[in-house]
Amino acid sequence: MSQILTPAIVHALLRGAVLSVELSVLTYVLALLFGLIAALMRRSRVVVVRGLARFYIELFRGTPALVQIFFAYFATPQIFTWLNKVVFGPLSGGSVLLPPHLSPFAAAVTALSLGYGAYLAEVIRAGIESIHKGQVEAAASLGLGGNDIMRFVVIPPAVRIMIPPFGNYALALLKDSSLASTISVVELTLATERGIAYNYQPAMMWAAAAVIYLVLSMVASFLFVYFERIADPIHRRRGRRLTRLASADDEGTP
Amino acid sequence: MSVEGEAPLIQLKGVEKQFGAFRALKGVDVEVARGEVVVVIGPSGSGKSTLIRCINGLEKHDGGSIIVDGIELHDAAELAEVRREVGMVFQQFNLFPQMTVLRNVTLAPMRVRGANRKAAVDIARRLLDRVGILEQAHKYPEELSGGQQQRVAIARALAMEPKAMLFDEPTSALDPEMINEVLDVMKDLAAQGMTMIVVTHEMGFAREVADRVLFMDGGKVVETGTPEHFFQNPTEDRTKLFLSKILRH
Repeated sequence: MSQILTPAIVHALLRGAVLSVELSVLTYVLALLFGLIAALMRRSRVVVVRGLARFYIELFRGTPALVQIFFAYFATPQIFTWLNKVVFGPLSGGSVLLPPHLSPFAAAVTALSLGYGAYLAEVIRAGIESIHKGQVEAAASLGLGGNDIMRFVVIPPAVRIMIPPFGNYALALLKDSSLASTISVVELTLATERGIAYNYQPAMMWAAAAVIYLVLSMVASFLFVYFERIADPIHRRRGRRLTRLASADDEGTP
Repeated sequence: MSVEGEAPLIQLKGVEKQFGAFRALKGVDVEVARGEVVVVIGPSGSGKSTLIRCINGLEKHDGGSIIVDGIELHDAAELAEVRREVGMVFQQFNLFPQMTVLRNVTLAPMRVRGANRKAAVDIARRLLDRVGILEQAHKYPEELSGGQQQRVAIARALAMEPKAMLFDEPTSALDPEMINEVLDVMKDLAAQGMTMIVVTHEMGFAREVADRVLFMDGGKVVETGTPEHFFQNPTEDRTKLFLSKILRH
Protein backbone atom coordinates (compact mmCIF):
# COMPACT_ATOMS: atom_id res chain seq x y z
CA MET A 1 0.00 0.00 0.00
CA SER A 2 2.75 2.39 0.95
CA GLN A 3 4.40 1.61 -2.39
CA ILE A 4 1.22 2.56 -4.20
CA LEU A 5 0.14 5.68 -2.31
CA THR A 6 3.52 7.33 -2.37
CA PRO A 7 4.00 10.79 -0.86
CA ALA A 8 4.53 12.09 -4.38
CA ILE A 9 1.11 10.85 -5.49
CA VAL A 10 -0.64 12.09 -2.34
CA HIS A 11 1.03 15.42 -2.87
CA ALA A 12 -0.09 15.51 -6.50
CA LEU A 13 -3.70 14.73 -5.52
CA LEU A 14 -3.73 17.43 -2.87
CA ARG A 15 -2.27 19.97 -5.29
CA GLY A 16 -5.01 18.99 -7.71
CA ALA A 17 -7.61 19.46 -4.98
CA VAL A 18 -6.25 22.91 -4.14
CA LEU A 19 -6.44 23.90 -7.79
CA SER A 20 -10.01 22.58 -7.97
CA VAL A 21 -10.94 24.78 -5.01
CA GLU A 22 -9.17 27.81 -6.47
CA LEU A 23 -10.85 27.30 -9.81
CA SER A 24 -14.26 26.85 -8.20
CA VAL A 25 -14.04 29.80 -5.81
CA LEU A 26 -12.77 32.22 -8.42
CA THR A 27 -15.36 31.00 -10.92
CA TYR A 28 -18.15 31.28 -8.36
CA VAL A 29 -17.28 34.86 -7.42
CA LEU A 30 -17.26 35.86 -11.09
CA ALA A 31 -20.47 33.92 -11.70
CA LEU A 32 -22.17 35.85 -8.88
CA LEU A 33 -21.05 39.08 -10.50
CA PHE A 34 -22.28 38.05 -13.97
CA GLY A 35 -25.48 36.73 -12.44
CA LEU A 36 -26.14 39.97 -10.58
CA ILE A 37 -25.52 42.07 -13.67
CA ALA A 38 -27.75 39.86 -15.82
CA ALA A 39 -30.50 39.80 -13.19
CA LEU A 40 -30.47 43.60 -12.93
CA MET A 41 -30.45 43.88 -16.72
CA ARG A 42 -33.46 41.57 -16.90
CA ARG A 43 -35.34 43.99 -14.67
CA SER A 44 -34.37 46.98 -16.81
CA ARG A 45 -37.02 49.18 -18.35
CA VAL A 46 -35.08 49.24 -21.65
CA VAL A 47 -36.24 46.44 -23.88
CA VAL A 48 -32.83 45.97 -25.57
CA VAL A 49 -31.08 45.62 -22.21
CA ARG A 50 -33.65 43.07 -21.07
CA GLY A 51 -33.28 41.23 -24.38
CA LEU A 52 -29.50 41.06 -24.07
CA ALA A 53 -29.73 39.57 -20.59
CA ARG A 54 -32.32 37.09 -21.78
CA PHE A 55 -30.11 36.10 -24.72
CA TYR A 56 -27.09 35.59 -22.47
CA ILE A 57 -29.05 33.48 -19.99
CA GLU A 58 -30.68 31.28 -22.62
CA LEU A 59 -27.44 30.83 -24.57
CA PHE A 60 -25.41 29.68 -21.59
CA ARG A 61 -28.12 27.63 -19.93
CA GLY A 62 -28.91 25.95 -23.23
CA THR A 63 -25.44 24.72 -24.17
CA PRO A 64 -23.28 22.10 -22.40
CA ALA A 65 -20.58 23.32 -20.05
CA LEU A 66 -18.09 21.11 -21.88
CA VAL A 67 -18.87 22.78 -25.20
CA GLN A 68 -18.46 26.19 -23.56
CA ILE A 69 -15.09 25.16 -22.15
CA PHE A 70 -13.92 23.79 -25.51
CA PHE A 71 -15.12 26.96 -27.18
CA ALA A 72 -13.27 29.15 -24.68
CA TYR A 73 -10.08 27.16 -25.09
CA PHE A 74 -10.00 25.92 -28.70
CA ALA A 75 -12.09 28.47 -30.57
CA THR A 76 -10.77 31.67 -29.07
CA PRO A 77 -7.26 31.49 -30.70
CA GLN A 78 -8.88 31.50 -34.13
CA ILE A 79 -11.29 34.27 -33.18
CA PHE A 80 -8.65 36.37 -31.43
CA THR A 81 -6.33 36.09 -34.43
CA TRP A 82 -9.08 37.21 -36.73
CA LEU A 83 -10.06 40.09 -34.42
CA ASN A 84 -6.44 41.22 -34.12
CA LYS A 85 -6.00 41.18 -37.88
CA VAL A 86 -9.30 42.61 -39.01
CA VAL A 87 -10.54 44.82 -36.17
CA PHE A 88 -7.91 45.81 -33.62
CA GLY A 89 -4.93 45.74 -35.99
CA PRO A 90 -6.15 48.51 -38.29
CA LEU A 91 -7.57 50.47 -35.33
CA SER A 92 -4.34 50.51 -33.35
CA GLY A 93 -1.95 50.77 -36.27
CA GLY A 94 -0.76 47.19 -36.42
CA SER A 95 -0.19 46.41 -32.74
CA VAL A 96 -1.83 43.26 -31.43
CA LEU A 97 -4.30 43.70 -28.57
CA LEU A 98 -5.58 40.24 -27.81
CA PRO A 99 -3.34 37.41 -26.59
CA PRO A 100 -2.89 34.53 -29.05
CA HIS A 101 -4.89 32.24 -26.78
CA LEU A 102 -6.32 31.89 -23.27
CA SER A 103 -4.46 29.77 -20.74
CA PRO A 104 -6.31 26.56 -19.84
CA PHE A 105 -7.11 27.92 -16.39
CA ALA A 106 -8.38 31.25 -17.78
CA ALA A 107 -10.46 29.46 -20.40
CA ALA A 108 -12.04 27.20 -17.78
CA VAL A 109 -12.79 30.13 -15.45
CA THR A 110 -14.26 32.18 -18.29
CA ALA A 111 -16.50 29.43 -19.62
CA LEU A 112 -17.71 28.13 -16.25
CA SER A 113 -18.29 31.57 -14.73
CA LEU A 114 -20.34 32.71 -17.71
CA GLY A 115 -22.28 29.44 -17.64
CA TYR A 116 -22.97 29.52 -13.90
CA GLY A 117 -23.64 33.27 -14.07
CA ALA A 118 -26.62 32.45 -16.28
CA TYR A 119 -28.02 30.08 -13.65
CA LEU A 120 -27.33 32.44 -10.76
CA ALA A 121 -29.00 35.29 -12.66
CA GLU A 122 -32.22 33.31 -12.51
CA VAL A 123 -31.73 32.55 -8.82
CA ILE A 124 -31.24 36.26 -8.09
CA ARG A 125 -34.21 37.29 -10.22
CA ALA A 126 -36.45 34.68 -8.60
CA GLY A 127 -35.29 35.79 -5.14
CA ILE A 128 -36.09 39.43 -5.81
CA GLU A 129 -39.44 38.58 -7.36
CA SER A 130 -40.37 36.33 -4.45
CA ILE A 131 -40.62 39.34 -2.15
CA HIS A 132 -44.31 40.01 -1.70
CA LYS A 133 -45.62 43.08 -3.47
CA GLY A 134 -47.18 44.16 -0.17
CA GLN A 135 -43.72 44.66 1.32
CA VAL A 136 -42.82 47.14 -1.38
CA GLU A 137 -46.19 48.86 -1.09
CA ALA A 138 -45.87 49.19 2.67
CA ALA A 139 -42.42 50.72 2.27
CA ALA A 140 -43.63 53.05 -0.48
CA SER A 141 -46.62 54.13 1.59
CA LEU A 142 -44.21 55.12 4.37
CA GLY A 143 -42.50 57.43 1.89
CA LEU A 144 -39.35 55.36 1.35
CA GLY A 145 -37.68 55.93 -2.02
CA GLY A 146 -36.84 53.26 -4.59
CA ASN A 147 -33.22 52.78 -3.48
CA ASP A 148 -34.15 52.50 0.19
CA ILE A 149 -36.89 50.03 -0.64
CA MET A 150 -34.39 47.82 -2.46
CA ARG A 151 -31.71 48.19 0.20
CA PHE A 152 -33.78 47.71 3.35
CA VAL A 153 -36.94 45.94 2.31
CA VAL A 154 -36.30 43.80 -0.78
CA ILE A 155 -32.68 42.68 -0.82
CA PRO A 156 -32.17 41.37 2.75
CA PRO A 157 -35.06 38.89 2.70
CA ALA A 158 -34.43 38.11 -0.98
CA VAL A 159 -30.83 37.12 -0.25
CA ARG A 160 -32.08 34.86 2.49
CA ILE A 161 -34.28 33.08 -0.03
CA MET A 162 -31.41 32.84 -2.53
CA ILE A 163 -28.99 31.09 -0.17
CA PRO A 164 -30.18 27.47 -0.61
CA PRO A 165 -30.12 27.59 -4.44
CA PHE A 166 -26.80 29.44 -4.25
CA GLY A 167 -25.52 26.48 -2.24
CA ASN A 168 -26.83 24.00 -4.79
CA TYR A 169 -25.01 25.73 -7.61
CA ALA A 170 -21.82 26.02 -5.57
CA LEU A 171 -21.77 22.26 -5.13
CA ALA A 172 -22.62 21.66 -8.79
CA LEU A 173 -19.82 24.00 -9.81
CA LEU A 174 -17.28 22.29 -7.57
CA LYS A 175 -18.02 19.04 -9.39
CA ASP A 176 -18.19 20.65 -12.84
CA SER A 177 -14.73 22.08 -12.24
CA SER A 178 -13.54 18.55 -13.16
CA LEU A 179 -14.45 19.42 -16.77
CA ALA A 180 -11.38 21.66 -16.81
CA SER A 181 -9.32 18.46 -16.87
CA THR A 182 -10.27 18.12 -20.55
CA ILE A 183 -8.27 21.20 -21.45
CA SER A 184 -5.24 20.19 -19.37
CA VAL A 185 -5.91 22.09 -16.15
CA VAL A 186 -4.30 19.79 -13.59
CA GLU A 187 -7.09 19.93 -11.07
CA LEU A 188 -8.13 16.95 -8.98
CA THR A 189 -9.56 14.85 -11.81
CA LEU A 190 -6.58 15.23 -14.13
CA ALA A 191 -4.19 14.82 -11.21
CA THR A 192 -5.91 11.51 -10.46
CA GLU A 193 -5.64 10.33 -14.06
CA ARG A 194 -1.96 11.18 -14.13
CA GLY A 195 -1.40 9.45 -10.81
CA ILE A 196 -2.98 6.30 -12.20
CA ALA A 197 -0.55 6.45 -15.11
CA TYR A 198 2.20 6.04 -12.50
CA ASN A 199 0.77 3.51 -10.06
CA TYR A 200 -1.82 1.60 -12.15
CA GLN A 201 -4.34 1.67 -9.28
CA PRO A 202 -7.52 3.10 -10.81
CA ALA A 203 -9.85 1.70 -8.14
CA MET A 204 -8.00 3.23 -5.24
CA MET A 205 -7.19 6.47 -7.05
CA TRP A 206 -10.72 7.18 -8.25
CA ALA A 207 -12.06 6.29 -4.81
CA ALA A 208 -9.58 8.73 -3.31
CA ALA A 209 -10.64 11.42 -5.77
CA ALA A 210 -14.31 10.78 -4.99
CA VAL A 211 -13.66 11.06 -1.25
CA ILE A 212 -11.79 14.35 -1.70
CA TYR A 213 -14.64 15.78 -3.80
CA LEU A 214 -17.12 14.60 -1.20
CA VAL A 215 -15.22 16.22 1.65
CA LEU A 216 -14.96 19.49 -0.27
CA SER A 217 -18.67 19.35 -1.09
CA MET A 218 -19.54 18.80 2.54
CA VAL A 219 -17.44 21.75 3.62
CA ALA A 220 -19.24 23.91 1.04
CA SER A 221 -22.59 22.51 2.13
CA PHE A 222 -21.95 23.30 5.81
CA LEU A 223 -20.79 26.76 4.83
CA PHE A 224 -24.12 27.47 3.13
CA VAL A 225 -26.09 26.06 6.05
CA TYR A 226 -24.16 28.49 8.21
CA PHE A 227 -24.97 31.36 5.82
CA GLU A 228 -28.63 30.38 6.05
CA ARG A 229 -28.48 30.55 9.82
CA ILE A 230 -26.85 33.94 10.04
CA ALA A 231 -29.30 35.30 7.46
CA ASP A 232 -32.24 34.17 9.59
CA PRO A 233 -32.73 36.93 12.16
CA ILE A 234 -34.68 34.81 14.61
CA HIS A 235 -32.22 31.94 14.75
CA ARG A 236 -29.38 34.37 14.95
CA ARG A 237 -30.95 36.09 17.91
CA ARG A 238 -31.80 32.82 19.65
CA GLY A 239 -28.19 31.81 19.24
CA ARG A 240 -27.07 35.06 20.81
CA ARG A 241 -29.54 34.75 23.64
CA LEU A 242 -28.34 31.23 24.44
CA THR A 243 -24.75 32.40 24.51
CA ARG A 244 -25.75 35.24 26.77
CA LEU A 245 -27.65 32.95 29.11
CA ALA A 246 -24.71 30.57 29.21
CA SER A 247 -22.26 33.32 30.05
CA ALA A 248 -24.63 34.75 32.64
CA ASP A 249 -24.76 31.30 34.15
CA ASP A 250 -21.00 31.16 34.33
CA GLU A 251 -20.87 34.48 36.09
CA GLY A 252 -23.58 33.42 38.50
CA THR A 253 -21.80 30.28 39.60
CA PRO A 254 -19.81 30.90 42.80
CA MET B 1 -66.83 67.22 12.54
CA SER B 2 -65.83 69.35 9.61
CA VAL B 3 -65.12 72.97 10.30
CA GLU B 4 -67.17 75.27 8.13
CA GLY B 5 -65.17 77.05 5.48
CA GLU B 6 -62.00 75.05 5.92
CA ALA B 7 -60.68 73.22 2.87
CA PRO B 8 -61.05 69.45 3.09
CA LEU B 9 -57.86 67.54 3.91
CA ILE B 10 -58.55 65.00 1.19
CA GLN B 11 -60.47 65.89 -1.93
CA LEU B 12 -61.25 63.55 -4.82
CA LYS B 13 -63.05 64.83 -7.89
CA GLY B 14 -64.25 62.59 -10.69
CA VAL B 15 -61.53 60.02 -10.03
CA GLU B 16 -61.28 57.31 -12.66
CA LYS B 17 -59.30 54.10 -12.52
CA GLN B 18 -59.07 51.43 -15.16
CA PHE B 19 -57.51 47.96 -14.85
CA GLY B 20 -57.29 46.76 -18.43
CA ALA B 21 -60.89 46.59 -19.61
CA PHE B 22 -62.28 46.84 -16.07
CA ARG B 23 -63.35 50.27 -14.81
CA ALA B 24 -62.64 50.07 -11.08
CA LEU B 25 -63.56 53.69 -10.33
CA LYS B 26 -66.13 55.55 -12.40
CA GLY B 27 -65.89 59.19 -11.46
CA VAL B 28 -65.66 59.15 -7.67
CA ASP B 29 -66.10 62.36 -5.66
CA VAL B 30 -65.12 62.27 -2.00
CA GLU B 31 -64.19 64.98 0.47
CA VAL B 32 -62.77 64.27 3.88
CA ALA B 33 -62.45 67.07 6.40
CA ARG B 34 -59.68 67.32 8.97
CA GLY B 35 -60.42 65.04 11.90
CA GLU B 36 -63.20 63.25 10.10
CA VAL B 37 -63.56 59.46 10.19
CA VAL B 38 -65.03 58.05 6.99
CA VAL B 39 -65.89 54.38 6.78
CA VAL B 40 -66.16 52.92 3.28
CA ILE B 41 -68.29 49.84 2.83
CA GLY B 42 -69.51 47.91 -0.15
CA PRO B 43 -69.36 44.52 -1.83
CA SER B 44 -66.03 43.14 -2.97
CA GLY B 45 -64.95 44.51 -6.32
CA SER B 46 -66.84 47.73 -5.69
CA GLY B 47 -63.64 49.81 -5.80
CA LYS B 48 -63.23 50.52 -2.05
CA SER B 49 -59.61 49.41 -1.84
CA THR B 50 -58.76 50.96 -5.18
CA LEU B 51 -60.16 54.23 -3.92
CA ILE B 52 -57.88 54.48 -0.91
CA ARG B 53 -54.92 53.06 -2.79
CA CYS B 54 -55.27 55.93 -5.25
CA ILE B 55 -55.11 58.47 -2.43
CA ASN B 56 -51.49 57.63 -1.64
CA GLY B 57 -50.62 56.72 -5.20
CA LEU B 58 -50.21 52.96 -4.81
CA GLU B 59 -52.54 52.96 -7.79
CA LYS B 60 -52.20 55.75 -10.30
CA HIS B 61 -55.58 57.25 -11.11
CA ASP B 62 -56.41 57.65 -14.78
CA GLY B 63 -58.69 60.66 -14.54
CA GLY B 64 -60.06 63.31 -12.23
CA SER B 65 -58.06 64.91 -9.46
CA ILE B 66 -56.84 63.92 -6.02
CA ILE B 67 -55.74 66.66 -3.65
CA VAL B 68 -54.26 65.84 -0.25
CA ASP B 69 -53.58 68.73 2.11
CA GLY B 70 -53.41 71.12 -0.83
CA ILE B 71 -51.04 68.92 -2.85
CA GLU B 72 -52.40 67.56 -6.09
CA LEU B 73 -51.14 64.10 -7.02
CA HIS B 74 -49.45 64.37 -10.39
CA ASP B 75 -45.97 62.94 -10.50
CA ALA B 76 -43.25 61.37 -8.41
CA ALA B 77 -42.29 64.49 -6.45
CA GLU B 78 -45.81 65.11 -5.17
CA LEU B 79 -46.27 61.43 -4.58
CA ALA B 80 -43.37 61.36 -2.14
CA GLU B 81 -44.76 64.41 -0.36
CA VAL B 82 -48.26 62.92 -0.07
CA ARG B 83 -46.93 59.59 1.15
CA ARG B 84 -45.13 61.33 3.98
CA GLU B 85 -48.43 62.87 5.07
CA VAL B 86 -50.70 59.86 4.68
CA GLY B 87 -50.19 56.62 6.58
CA MET B 88 -51.56 53.32 5.39
CA VAL B 89 -52.48 50.07 7.11
CA PHE B 90 -52.95 46.94 5.00
CA GLN B 91 -55.11 43.87 5.32
CA GLN B 92 -52.01 41.64 5.39
CA PHE B 93 -50.05 43.89 7.82
CA ASN B 94 -47.01 43.86 5.51
CA LEU B 95 -44.49 44.22 8.31
CA PHE B 96 -40.88 43.77 7.26
CA PRO B 97 -40.10 40.21 8.43
CA GLN B 98 -36.33 40.58 8.71
CA MET B 99 -36.57 43.55 11.08
CA THR B 100 -37.52 43.68 14.74
CA VAL B 101 -40.75 45.41 15.68
CA LEU B 102 -38.76 48.43 16.82
CA ARG B 103 -36.81 48.60 13.56
CA ASN B 104 -40.04 48.30 11.58
CA VAL B 105 -41.26 51.45 13.30
CA THR B 106 -38.01 53.44 13.22
CA LEU B 107 -36.96 52.73 9.62
CA ALA B 108 -39.10 55.33 7.84
CA PRO B 109 -38.59 58.20 10.32
CA MET B 110 -34.83 57.65 10.09
CA ARG B 111 -34.62 57.22 6.31
CA VAL B 112 -37.38 59.58 5.17
CA ARG B 113 -37.56 62.23 7.88
CA GLY B 114 -33.86 62.05 8.69
CA ALA B 115 -34.53 61.52 12.39
CA ASN B 116 -31.57 60.35 14.43
CA ARG B 117 -31.73 56.93 16.01
CA LYS B 118 -32.47 58.16 19.51
CA ALA B 119 -35.35 60.40 18.46
CA ALA B 120 -36.78 57.67 16.24
CA VAL B 121 -36.53 55.08 19.01
CA ASP B 122 -38.20 57.43 21.48
CA ILE B 123 -41.12 58.02 19.12
CA ALA B 124 -41.34 54.31 18.33
CA ARG B 125 -41.41 53.32 22.00
CA ARG B 126 -44.11 55.87 22.74
CA LEU B 127 -46.23 54.61 19.85
CA LEU B 128 -45.67 50.93 20.65
CA ASP B 129 -46.73 51.71 24.19
CA ARG B 130 -49.83 53.43 22.86
CA VAL B 131 -50.83 50.35 20.83
CA GLY B 132 -49.97 48.14 23.80
CA ILE B 133 -47.02 46.30 22.33
CA LEU B 134 -43.97 47.92 23.87
CA GLU B 135 -42.84 44.70 25.59
CA GLN B 136 -42.59 43.01 22.16
CA ALA B 137 -40.36 45.70 20.66
CA HIS B 138 -37.40 43.38 20.16
CA LYS B 139 -39.32 40.47 18.68
CA TYR B 140 -39.67 39.74 15.00
CA PRO B 141 -43.07 40.01 13.26
CA GLU B 142 -43.51 36.26 12.81
CA GLU B 143 -43.27 35.83 16.58
CA LEU B 144 -46.38 37.98 17.09
CA SER B 145 -50.05 37.20 16.67
CA GLY B 146 -51.95 38.75 13.79
CA GLY B 147 -53.59 41.32 16.04
CA GLN B 148 -50.23 42.32 17.49
CA GLN B 149 -48.72 42.57 14.01
CA GLN B 150 -51.52 44.82 12.86
CA ARG B 151 -51.04 47.06 15.91
CA VAL B 152 -47.34 47.29 15.06
CA ALA B 153 -48.31 48.21 11.51
CA ILE B 154 -50.47 51.03 12.88
CA ALA B 155 -47.59 52.26 15.05
CA ARG B 156 -45.26 52.06 12.05
CA ALA B 157 -47.57 54.28 10.01
CA LEU B 158 -48.08 56.70 12.91
CA ALA B 159 -44.33 57.09 13.37
CA MET B 160 -44.28 59.23 10.24
CA GLU B 161 -46.71 61.58 12.03
CA PRO B 162 -49.21 61.49 9.18
CA LYS B 163 -52.07 63.93 8.85
CA ALA B 164 -54.40 61.17 7.73
CA MET B 165 -54.53 57.39 7.97
CA LEU B 166 -55.90 54.97 5.39
CA PHE B 167 -57.04 51.53 6.55
CA ASP B 168 -57.53 48.85 3.90
CA GLU B 169 -59.63 46.13 5.56
CA PRO B 170 -57.37 46.13 8.62
CA THR B 171 -59.22 43.31 10.43
CA SER B 172 -60.18 41.05 7.53
CA ALA B 173 -57.13 38.79 7.89
CA LEU B 174 -57.44 38.46 11.65
CA ASP B 175 -58.80 35.66 13.79
CA PRO B 176 -62.09 36.80 15.36
CA GLU B 177 -60.69 37.10 18.88
CA MET B 178 -58.06 39.58 17.70
CA ILE B 179 -60.31 41.94 15.83
CA ASN B 180 -61.28 44.02 18.84
CA GLU B 181 -57.74 44.78 19.98
CA VAL B 182 -57.10 46.36 16.58
CA LEU B 183 -60.44 48.16 16.44
CA ASP B 184 -59.79 49.55 19.93
CA VAL B 185 -56.54 51.09 18.76
CA MET B 186 -58.37 52.60 15.80
CA LYS B 187 -61.14 53.97 18.02
CA ASP B 188 -58.55 55.51 20.26
CA LEU B 189 -56.91 57.09 17.23
CA ALA B 190 -60.25 58.48 16.02
CA ALA B 191 -60.98 59.88 19.46
CA GLN B 192 -57.72 61.78 19.35
CA GLY B 193 -58.78 63.52 16.18
CA MET B 194 -56.95 61.60 13.47
CA THR B 195 -58.40 61.94 9.99
CA MET B 196 -59.20 58.42 8.85
CA ILE B 197 -60.59 56.58 5.86
CA VAL B 198 -61.41 53.02 6.79
CA VAL B 199 -62.40 50.29 4.37
CA THR B 200 -64.00 47.62 6.54
CA HIS B 201 -66.73 45.07 6.93
CA GLU B 202 -66.99 45.81 10.66
CA MET B 203 -70.40 47.42 10.85
CA GLY B 204 -70.15 47.84 14.61
CA PHE B 205 -67.07 49.97 14.12
CA ALA B 206 -68.82 51.97 11.41
CA ARG B 207 -71.80 52.64 13.68
CA GLU B 208 -69.74 53.59 16.66
CA VAL B 209 -66.81 55.53 15.23
CA ALA B 210 -67.66 56.83 11.76
CA ASP B 211 -68.65 60.43 11.23
CA ARG B 212 -69.76 59.41 7.81
CA VAL B 213 -70.38 56.14 6.02
CA LEU B 214 -69.78 55.84 2.32
CA PHE B 215 -71.34 53.00 0.37
CA MET B 216 -69.65 52.00 -2.88
CA ASP B 217 -70.85 49.67 -5.58
CA GLY B 218 -69.66 49.13 -9.14
CA GLY B 219 -66.91 51.74 -8.92
CA LYS B 220 -69.22 54.53 -7.75
CA VAL B 221 -70.20 56.10 -4.47
CA VAL B 222 -73.85 55.08 -4.25
CA GLU B 223 -74.77 56.66 -0.96
CA THR B 224 -73.15 58.61 1.83
CA GLY B 225 -74.41 59.79 5.19
CA THR B 226 -74.14 59.60 8.93
CA PRO B 227 -74.16 56.12 10.45
CA GLU B 228 -77.68 56.80 11.83
CA HIS B 229 -79.03 57.67 8.42
CA PHE B 230 -77.13 54.90 6.80
CA PHE B 231 -78.11 51.99 8.98
CA GLN B 232 -81.63 53.13 9.89
CA ASN B 233 -83.07 54.56 6.72
CA PRO B 234 -80.85 54.23 3.68
CA THR B 235 -82.42 55.70 0.58
CA GLU B 236 -80.81 53.71 -2.21
CA ASP B 237 -82.04 50.25 -3.10
CA ARG B 238 -78.55 48.92 -3.60
CA THR B 239 -77.58 50.05 -0.13
CA LYS B 240 -80.65 48.38 1.35
CA LEU B 241 -79.87 45.16 -0.49
CA PHE B 242 -76.26 45.17 0.67
CA LEU B 243 -77.20 45.91 4.28
CA SER B 244 -79.89 43.25 4.28
CA LYS B 245 -77.26 40.72 3.20
CA ILE B 246 -74.67 41.57 5.79
CA LEU B 247 -76.94 42.47 8.73
CA ARG B 248 -79.28 39.50 8.44
CA HIS B 249 -77.77 37.42 11.22
